[in-house]
Parts: sequence; C-alpha cells; structure tokens
Amino acid sequence: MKLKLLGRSVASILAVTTLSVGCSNHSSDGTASATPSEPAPTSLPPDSLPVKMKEAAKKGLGFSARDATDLGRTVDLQHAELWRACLTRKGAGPDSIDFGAVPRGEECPTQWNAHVPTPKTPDLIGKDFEKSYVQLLKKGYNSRFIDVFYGSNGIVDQQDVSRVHGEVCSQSPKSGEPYDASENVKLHVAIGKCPSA
Amino acid sequence: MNKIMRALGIAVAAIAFTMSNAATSSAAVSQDGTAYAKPVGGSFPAKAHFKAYGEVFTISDLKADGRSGIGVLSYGSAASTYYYWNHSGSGTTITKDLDIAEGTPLHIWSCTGNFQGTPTGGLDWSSGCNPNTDAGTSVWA
Repeated sequence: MKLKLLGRSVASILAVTTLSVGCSNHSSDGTASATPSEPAPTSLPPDSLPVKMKEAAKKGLGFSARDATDLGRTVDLQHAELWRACLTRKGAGPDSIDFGAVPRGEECPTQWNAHVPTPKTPDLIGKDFEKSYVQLLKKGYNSRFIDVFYGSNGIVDQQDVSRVHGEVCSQSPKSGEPYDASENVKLHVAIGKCPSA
Repeated sequence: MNKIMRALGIAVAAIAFTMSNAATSSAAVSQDGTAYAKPVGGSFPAKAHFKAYGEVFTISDLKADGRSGIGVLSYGSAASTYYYWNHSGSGTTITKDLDIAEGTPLHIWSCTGNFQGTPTGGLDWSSGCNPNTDAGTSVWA
C-alpha cells in the first residue's frame, strides 16, 4: 500500500513538474505547440486557462482553478478563456494540479495569494448591457454572482443573459466601490433605453 | 476472586461495546455515491462514482456523442474543486485513488465537455458543463 502511495506521489510530482516546465517554456509570440495529429489552437494564447487545462487533462491530471491573488475571485469556467494561468502547484486531489489564474488584462503574480490593489467597481450606468457584462467578466467577476434584472421580468436565468439587450439603469455596488468577492453585482437593465429621471 | 472476574468481564464487555460502536459509526459516516451528467436524448452521457471503501473515484463516459465525460470532486470551496476529464471515449472509465481521512465530506458531480475545444483551442466548457448550476451528490470518505 505504501509502495502504491509512493508510486502515485512520484508520478503526480513528475506530471506536475512536467506541466510546470511546459508553462515556463512557452514562447511569448502567442503560438502554442501541438501534436501534428491535432489542429493547432489559432487564437487562444498558450497561457490561456482552457489551453493549460487541456494540457493537464491530456496527462490524466485533474485540475482546479483559483485566483492567484489575494482577491479571492472565483474563476468562471464558463468564461475560462478570459483568464490566464500564471502559477501551478500539486493539487489536493489525486493526480491533480492547481492553477493560479488572473483575468487576462492583469499581470501574473509571482507567488500564490499575492497582494494586489483592490479593483474599483466600474461605472456602468447608461451603458450598453452586453458591453458592461463583458467588462465585468474581463475584470474577474463571476457570471454566477452577477444578478441581471431585465425590464419587468425580474432576475434573468444565467442561460438567458444573451437575450438581454438594453441600457444599464442602476447598479450595485456603486461605481468606484472596492471589489468584494462576497458581494453579488446587481444590474437593472431596461428594455432599450433607461427611463428619463 | 469472583469480584475480580466480574470486574474483568464488565471491562471486556465495555471495550467490545465501544469497538462495535466505533465500527458502526464509521460505517454510518462513510457513504458511496453516484452522480450522473444531465441526460441527453433520453440517456445519461457520463457519470462519476465515489466508493468509500478504498476511497476510489471513477469517471465514466457512457455515450458516443463526441464529448468527454467529466467527473468533478469537490472538497468544499470552488477553489478546491477538481475536474477530471475522461477523453478516452465512450464505454471507458478512469479511476482515481484518493488518499483522504475517513469521514471527510465530499461533493461529486458529472457533466460533459468538448475535449477538442473551440476553434480557438483549449477545453470547451460552454455547453454540457456548468459548475455554477450543475447539481451533484454528497459522499463521505
């Protein structure tokens, strides 16, 4: 049993080490290496989270994804392409790896839970909802924690958000307030233009 | 002498009761569980199973639909949730041996994903797997 555990640990460490080395060996020109039998990714950069996840899955590793900084944001796997994998370490699960990630617009920290300035909530009032929603996602807000209220229909199911078109009439937290991982963002969207005050 | 024998008998009985109780409570705490991915076309495309005895986690791809079966193992928070992709094809199962303390609560669920990814590369989570809404089942090691 101990030999089995030892073997598994060594295998995991080797796999994680290989993956980590792979992370640092990527070129910075946006190209990714791929086996000849598979089409090469054309758009996602090599440090993109979905690309790194695929590398892990190919090696038979399970993976988790978490904020590499001390902001404690929940990585949104529905929009994983907006995140870049910065750090790796052996995971708590069997044969697994942890990815430390940040939104693509941010610099990669060099250590886990690195302290970074707390982002401010953007001003979305009067702006187009679709652009505002993407802006929030790109800043690392999780779609799970964005409540969208549309016209008189109340809260919108996550899978129906793409059907929302109009202006953002009110937002919570207010513009300029510091990001708080425990707080849901609430957006009230008009069908079309916001009513004039 | 009789008193000593009687005391010894009571002590042995007490120890036996404690051991039996411990075994019972241990068995009650450990719990297997199976979670299926959302059915597609009337059948389940994938499943994840946790077997408490031996702490074995398996991920099965049940459907030839061009998609991978995904088993998800959560130790609690989103940050300690692990995704295992079985991209070996329909009818296959991959096995992961866990090494965790007895009685540890876990949450498992299953979904599917596109291993070939989108034209932009990487894994495709956009359909068949939504960690925000997928339901699962609780198990105990």
